[in-house]
Amino acid sequence: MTNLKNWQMPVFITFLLLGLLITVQFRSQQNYLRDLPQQKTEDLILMLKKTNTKKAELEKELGDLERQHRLISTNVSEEETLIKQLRQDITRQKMALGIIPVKGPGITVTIDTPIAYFDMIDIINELWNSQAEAIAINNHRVSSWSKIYWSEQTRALTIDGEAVAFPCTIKATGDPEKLDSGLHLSGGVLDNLDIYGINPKIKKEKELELHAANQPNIEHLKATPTP
Amino acid sequence: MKLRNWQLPLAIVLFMTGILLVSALNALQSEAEPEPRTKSKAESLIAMIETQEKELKDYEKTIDARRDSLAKHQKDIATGKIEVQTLQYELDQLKTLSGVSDVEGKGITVFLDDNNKGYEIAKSKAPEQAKPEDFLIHDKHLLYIVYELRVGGAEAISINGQRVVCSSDIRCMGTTIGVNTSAIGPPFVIKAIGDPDRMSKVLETDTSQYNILKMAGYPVRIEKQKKITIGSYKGSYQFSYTEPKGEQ
Repeated sequence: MTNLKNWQMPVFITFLLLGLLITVQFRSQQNYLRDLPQQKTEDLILMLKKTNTKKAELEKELGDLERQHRLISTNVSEEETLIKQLRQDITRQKMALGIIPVKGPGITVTIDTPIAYFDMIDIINELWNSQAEAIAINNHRVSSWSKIYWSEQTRALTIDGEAVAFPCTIKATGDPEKLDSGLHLSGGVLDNLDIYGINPKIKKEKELELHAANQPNIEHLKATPTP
Repeated sequence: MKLRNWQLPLAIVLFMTGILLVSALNALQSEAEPEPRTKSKAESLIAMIETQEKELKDYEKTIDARRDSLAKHQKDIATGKIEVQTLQYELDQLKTLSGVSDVEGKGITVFLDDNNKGYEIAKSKAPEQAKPEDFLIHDKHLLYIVYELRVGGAEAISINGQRVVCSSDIRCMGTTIGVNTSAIGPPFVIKAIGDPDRMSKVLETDTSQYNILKMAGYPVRIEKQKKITIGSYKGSYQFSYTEPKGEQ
């Protein structure tokens, strides 16, 4: 046993050194492989070729992205234009329907004494005929579903369930000259009223403000489906 | 003899160590000494590769940013599409109301014609006193009937195919009647969408324009219908003087 100890120690040390030596050499080999200056020229050329290929690929990818970007930017601006147009069209339709407040030049027609409902209809019709763009009777906006009638119960000229108070002021926006001359046509509305001693006062206005009509209560109407 | 026991393995190990050391030195020498004449070429290659690698990193960064911004744009477009759809729907609804589209629904058709028979009779009775205009349908008759239909809750009205909208005017144009400034003549067919019973009831009231014509002997009649179709308003809605008040 003591004999064995004699050679065991040196062998152990030798193997230890051997192990360290192998490790160190392996490590340094690895580092050489990673270090560019340690590469062979052919390998460097190969690497350069690879980076060139990758660069070309990335450039292509970037080009694609830029193209898509341009395309989509056009789409975004087209969409913005469309949205703007739609909004304008919606406002116009709402103005036509009378469901938004409006302002503009026009005329006022002031009537002191009560008139018949058909006289009122005549005046409104004449104003539309003279290209009125919006009409209100005593701040009650006239729309295509306005009900102008004589109420037997209240014994009053009524618009949409509301008795028209006199003196009554009708406001109409549009060309003041045209509206004025429309009402003054010979044999027209004013001439007719004059027979009954009613002489409305007409005044051209620089700026009138008209309230909105209520939303219509639609029950039976629907758009014809387009094929 | 005892010495031999460990001498042999040691000899082998040392021998191997020797070989390993030599090969390691060889390797070190060959790597450390590339051919001197290609050294500058290798250096320039290395410089190029390093530049390339830096550029590649920049490219990757740019591509990343571009992809993000593209994704954002695509999302915006999708949001915009929803907005377009919503606005389009609202516009369609408004157009149905304002008369710019064809519409259908239940309602009534009112037939009106000049009282030719009445005129013939009057003429035969008193030729000098009988005036033909007293037996015609006039613009005012149509105008008042339209307003009577509105009192009855009419949601869409047309006269001889002319859609009557809010700003429509009905007036005398010489010997004809103008609706939306288009000339129309007898017989007159007024279509109205709405509750047929409600509208008929208003028209048949004693003092109504329709009833007055009926009493005077004009050939008039009302037909209730489950479904009638009314064409669109062909005119324009131009606002040259009026603008919306407040923000829209």
